[in-house]
Amino acid sequence: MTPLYLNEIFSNSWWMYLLIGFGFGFILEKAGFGDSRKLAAQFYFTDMRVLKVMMSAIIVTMVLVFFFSSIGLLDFSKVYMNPTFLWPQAVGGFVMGIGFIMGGFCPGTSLVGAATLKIDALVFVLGVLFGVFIFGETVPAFNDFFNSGSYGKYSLFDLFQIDAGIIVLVVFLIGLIAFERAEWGEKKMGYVKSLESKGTTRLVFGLTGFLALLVAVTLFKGQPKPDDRWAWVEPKFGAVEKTRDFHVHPKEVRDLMIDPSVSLRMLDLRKEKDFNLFHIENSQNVSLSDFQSAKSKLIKKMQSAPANRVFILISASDKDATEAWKLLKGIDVLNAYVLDGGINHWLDVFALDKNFASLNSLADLSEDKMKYTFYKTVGSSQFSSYPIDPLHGEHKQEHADYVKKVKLQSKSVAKGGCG
Amino acid sequence: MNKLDRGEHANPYLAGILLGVVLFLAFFLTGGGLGASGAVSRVQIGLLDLIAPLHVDKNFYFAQVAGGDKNPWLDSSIYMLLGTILGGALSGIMSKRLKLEIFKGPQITNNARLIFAFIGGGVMGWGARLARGCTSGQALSGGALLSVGSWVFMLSLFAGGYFLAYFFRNLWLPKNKGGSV
Repeated sequence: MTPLYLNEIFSNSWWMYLLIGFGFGFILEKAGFGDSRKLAAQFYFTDMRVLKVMMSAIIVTMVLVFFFSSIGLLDFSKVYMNPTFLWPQAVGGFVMGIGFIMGGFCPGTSLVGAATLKIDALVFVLGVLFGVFIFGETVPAFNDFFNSGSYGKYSLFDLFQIDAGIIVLVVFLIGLIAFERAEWGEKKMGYVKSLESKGTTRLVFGLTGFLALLVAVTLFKGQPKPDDRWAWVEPKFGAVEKTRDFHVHPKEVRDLMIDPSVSLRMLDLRKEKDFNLFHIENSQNVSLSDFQSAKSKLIKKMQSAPANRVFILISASDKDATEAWKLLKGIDVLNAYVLDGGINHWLDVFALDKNFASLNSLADLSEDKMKYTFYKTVGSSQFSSYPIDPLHGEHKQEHADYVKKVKLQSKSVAKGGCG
Repeated sequence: MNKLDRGEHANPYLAGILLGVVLFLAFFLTGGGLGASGAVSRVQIGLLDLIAPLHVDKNFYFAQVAGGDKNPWLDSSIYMLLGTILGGALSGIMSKRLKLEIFKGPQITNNARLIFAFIGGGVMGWGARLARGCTSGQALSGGALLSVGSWVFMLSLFAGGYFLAYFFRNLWLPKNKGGSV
């Protein structure tokens, strides 16, 4: 299935945020979180409400997100995930824990406490306002620390290098164990609970079973792979082999090499042997399989590339390069292009003397093979690997006899509620 | 919703499940999660911008929200903040909990409770900005997406709370229980 991208419809509607906030506040209050005593009780093991509500909310959201992602209705890469800044998060979390036990609220719960006119909550909110003010005034003094341990969008399944479904299962099971322990602990501490109706208990168990089913489906289906993701965008870009909107003429690539406004990366997909015989200067030898796994280092690097980075994919003609381009389009790597006609075309245009290679008329170009036969290994030592005349470095544009295809695109940055 | 009976607190698991559905809908419909401290920070910067706009422009941290022509009030998080307050108030009204009062442990005075609420709020506000999010934005939203930093944050938060709970026991516990924890 194709993602619905409902966020493109609703993310600009103020009433949607109002509605979501409304549900958030209503449930927090209903759960008893407007009462600082209930919140603080978590830290004395007398009422494990905070753990129960938070952990079950995290589990439900996690299961739904990764289930919808696995069946292809939700594009996980388009969901805003807080970037990881390890050290400030660790210290900030610890500091907040201290504030929690002193003040009895966290910022969200203090809002619902204040909404139900609890004076301690109102004073707490004033304290938060003061605290964020002091932070703004003091952060210039420790800005380096504030930005330390930066890992970007970094998830537990990136850390452990395994399928997200396995982490989902583990967190789900840890949650169930934690709930069982919490019930046991409360009984031991002699906390008297209000009687739960049998119906509620049955409903909770029923929903837990349903979640277990979703976890199983998520595990079985797995998260979308680059192939699946290309299928999502195929209606939009499927005709690219005919239109060649993303196939860049060798001369444009040559001009990009000396364009100070772009940071060019050339990725050569040919076999190492062909690459060694001849390649474009500063190009990097990669293989098509690097593009087929969403977890490969190359993909990670490409996804976190700076906004002015342009990738040029190179193969002998351009079949493999186009395949790689499709996979990149699926995972939303912007500014990826294909060297039109590949190295063969490059040599046609730039290797005027061809003193190291000759045309082989028998080569089967449909197989993305070299049509040149090399007399010797030249690597990137020849002028044709970096065909820029040092005396005429500024020769671009004046006589650009090709159609320019490269247009720098930048991502629209998704925002989070707590940023 | 007969499970959320009037006047009582909801079953915590059921409340958690519903909260999880709301958080999922936030991701599914808006692409982002829940949050509170970000909006509170905007309110603070917005107020400061009314009083001392030049000071806001000079501080890079404030300026990124309200520097120059930027309007700190026009942001989705502000609508979410309003919704949170309205939702909390409605639930409070329905459960007859909307009442001007102070909740505190049995051992301390009202004034002591309010002083600690202010200090705790201040510490928490400062920490929330350092961690780039609060219990809602980091622990809940980031935790559900399995963000490494959010899980580190969550564990640190509970570590901080449990670490100091003993020293602040008189704030919350009755006298006879104070020593036994």
